[in-house]
Amino acid sequence: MSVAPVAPDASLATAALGGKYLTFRIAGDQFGVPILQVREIIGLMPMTPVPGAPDDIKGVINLRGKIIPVMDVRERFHLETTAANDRNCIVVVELTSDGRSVEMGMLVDAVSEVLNIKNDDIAPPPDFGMKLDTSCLLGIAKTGKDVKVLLDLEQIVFRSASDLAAVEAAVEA
Amino acid sequence: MNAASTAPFVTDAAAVIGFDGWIAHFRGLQHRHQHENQSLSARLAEAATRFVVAESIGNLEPDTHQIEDFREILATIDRSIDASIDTLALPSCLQGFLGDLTAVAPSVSAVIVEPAPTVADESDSDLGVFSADPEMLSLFVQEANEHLESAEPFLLQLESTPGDMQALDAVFRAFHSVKGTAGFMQLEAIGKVAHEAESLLDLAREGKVQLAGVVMDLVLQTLDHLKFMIDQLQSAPAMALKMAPGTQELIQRLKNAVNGSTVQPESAVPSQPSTAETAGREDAHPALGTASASTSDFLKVDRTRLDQLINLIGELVIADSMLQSALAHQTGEQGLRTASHVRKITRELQGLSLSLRMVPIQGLFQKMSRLVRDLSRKLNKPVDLETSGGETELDKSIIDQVADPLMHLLRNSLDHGIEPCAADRVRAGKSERATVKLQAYHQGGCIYIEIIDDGRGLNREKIVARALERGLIETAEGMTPAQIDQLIFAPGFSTAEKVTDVSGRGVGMDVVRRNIEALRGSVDLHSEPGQGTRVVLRLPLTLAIIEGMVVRVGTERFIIPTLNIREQIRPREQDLATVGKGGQLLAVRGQNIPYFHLSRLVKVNGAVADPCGGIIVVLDPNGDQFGLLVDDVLGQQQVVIKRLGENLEQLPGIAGGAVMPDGKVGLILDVRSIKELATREPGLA
Repeated sequence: MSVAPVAPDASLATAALGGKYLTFRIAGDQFGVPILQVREIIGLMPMTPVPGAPDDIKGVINLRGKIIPVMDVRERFHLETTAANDRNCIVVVELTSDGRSVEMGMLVDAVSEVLNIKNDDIAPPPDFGMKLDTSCLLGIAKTGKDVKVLLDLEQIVFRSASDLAAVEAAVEA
Repeated sequence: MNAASTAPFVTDAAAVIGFDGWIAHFRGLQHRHQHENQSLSARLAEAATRFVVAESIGNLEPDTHQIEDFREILATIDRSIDASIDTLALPSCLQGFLGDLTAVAPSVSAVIVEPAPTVADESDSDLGVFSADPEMLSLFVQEANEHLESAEPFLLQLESTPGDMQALDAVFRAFHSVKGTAGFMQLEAIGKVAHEAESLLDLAREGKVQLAGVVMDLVLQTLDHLKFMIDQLQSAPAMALKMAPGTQELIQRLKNAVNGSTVQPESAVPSQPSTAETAGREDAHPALGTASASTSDFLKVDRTRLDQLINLIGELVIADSMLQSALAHQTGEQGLRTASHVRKITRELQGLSLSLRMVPIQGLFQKMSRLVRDLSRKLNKPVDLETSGGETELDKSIIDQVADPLMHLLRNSLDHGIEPCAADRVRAGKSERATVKLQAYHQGGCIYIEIIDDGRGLNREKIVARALERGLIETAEGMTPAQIDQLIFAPGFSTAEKVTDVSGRGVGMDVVRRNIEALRGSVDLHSEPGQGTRVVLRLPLTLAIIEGMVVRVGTERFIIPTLNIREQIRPREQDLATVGKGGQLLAVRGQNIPYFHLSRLVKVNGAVADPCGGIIVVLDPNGDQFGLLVDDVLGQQQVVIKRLGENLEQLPGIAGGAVMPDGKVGLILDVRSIKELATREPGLA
């Protein structure tokens, strides 16, 4: 099995990243998350803002009796706001850490498709030097002419990533 | 195989968990490896198990050579955990080591519960360590525990009313049943202990032994020991292999008690076991049938499933109210009738779901009776415990968490509250025996638990002296007795002259208060010098639900726990005052209390700025009053508390969330920390 080229983060470099991804659009850019981490896609619903919460947490919603936070990925990635439309939705992702499952919603402009991305098509996030942190990216996938930014949800949800400006740069690159 | 977690276990095992746990661990290791067809590793584990078993029961006095071998085997096991087992070489000493152990094999198998396979047969790695059907075992554990727990209150009753034949019979039956089932399960050690206790109780039934003093202590100890042994069965099944530490000694003491009190020890004792033994086995099932009849109405349910069910019903209630409001405008009479029927069923379902987690507090009271009895003997203070309201129902998780504080309070009562010598009591015109009352009751949506003693009350002089010494106060001048009493809740406060193992470890009432407040309850204390002390715990019925006041600020709604609300005031211009920069005061019946704009604390726009246009909700966490200005009070409501999820835990001022009737999420304010937020940044408010 071929291994993705060496990335700054060794643990990511050795992981086989190929597989199915759910891709979606935010502010004109394409993003992808591993389909196995996606629990469901729901329409927009009224959110309750939480005072004192991190800036990118837009609020909490009631998902069939369970309260989950909703993150605006746009905010986190410093992308510009787009006009609301009826294709806006919330992608609910589910991650497990220490045997506990954590659910979180992500606001996206529109869900695109489920793509099978080959390991060979995924390049590690480019190294932008010290200034840009790429730890919340799994890699950059090239599908046809498109470039899709694959997100490392573990890093995003558990907040170990610090600066997501890297994404913008990656997209431009 | 979970390699990483087992590795340190093996090397540190002897030091940390002792041999019993070690055996259990090796058994587990062995099974896992077998499952993966790792025969080599399984044999290593087997060798280690055998060694430990033989050594711990005293059948093997290992020489230095054997200990060296054992070390090498352990090291190999360690390596086998770290590396792929297939690549490991068999230590050369293994064969000889197993050979040595074969010599002690007959005696190993002698203590093994099941007929053991010959140890020489090495391919058969089943040591014959207790391996009953796990389902049978857990059934046994459950039943035996029920029997033993049912015996305890009767024993305590016997102590206060000796000669109560009914109670004595009940205790006897319990031990008999345990003995019978233990025999059936071939758990010899447990059977033996129960049998000896039964013999002693039988003598008591014949009136040859008085169940009091040391004899009663012995029976209660036996009860505890049996509980311990039975618990061990589940936590470390390998324990069934051998007698738990102290078992032999206990049996001897029971035997001595039986012999010492019998007129003809020769005839009475030996004849007893033989008849009882056979009777026990035959009776096992009938005895079980009758004794467990009272518990057969209960069903054990997995906690997570229960929570799921309760959650779903909560959802149903919300969905129902949304449906009802949607239907209200457009359905005909038939539809409305059906809708109201659905509503009725939903409400009933909700009530039922909430009662699922409720259990009577009686079980906890029973444990406390035992505690008081033991303490009163230890401290040599005769104390009667009176309990009432044991049937009061409380959420199981609250009962679990209130046990420690309650125990602490009772210890305090007995240690500090009750006079050290009975003469003091008589001089004060009280009876020689002290009385401690433990009562539970239900009032206004809360559960109250009171601990009342008739001791000497709080020593306020000592409290003040201690508080001054600790720098908790600068002067006691102007303090009311009640305020002085409150000082004992201050962190690090302890008036005990010396640290005893009963109470006074410096973690005193402050921990009690903190634990109770963590359950969203409160502690109240009233003391009358010379008359006694009364501690009142106020607890919510359940942790899952709170009674809340829904308030509006701008466009947002918040829920304030009703428990913390003192009153609501629509302020008038003349009641308001400003102090310095940002400090705002509201006059309530001559008292000035600070108030804050909730909208500024939670950063909500569009709220009323003029206090006269809103409502001030007066709160009093810890008896410390302050107000929150809100736009409007929307009403009172019961809500199910939910966590907000990852990243949103421990936000100041927010205790959690709740799903509101319209399906949106409402945030529940944490009154205590919102005050902190306000006091920390006075400019904000």
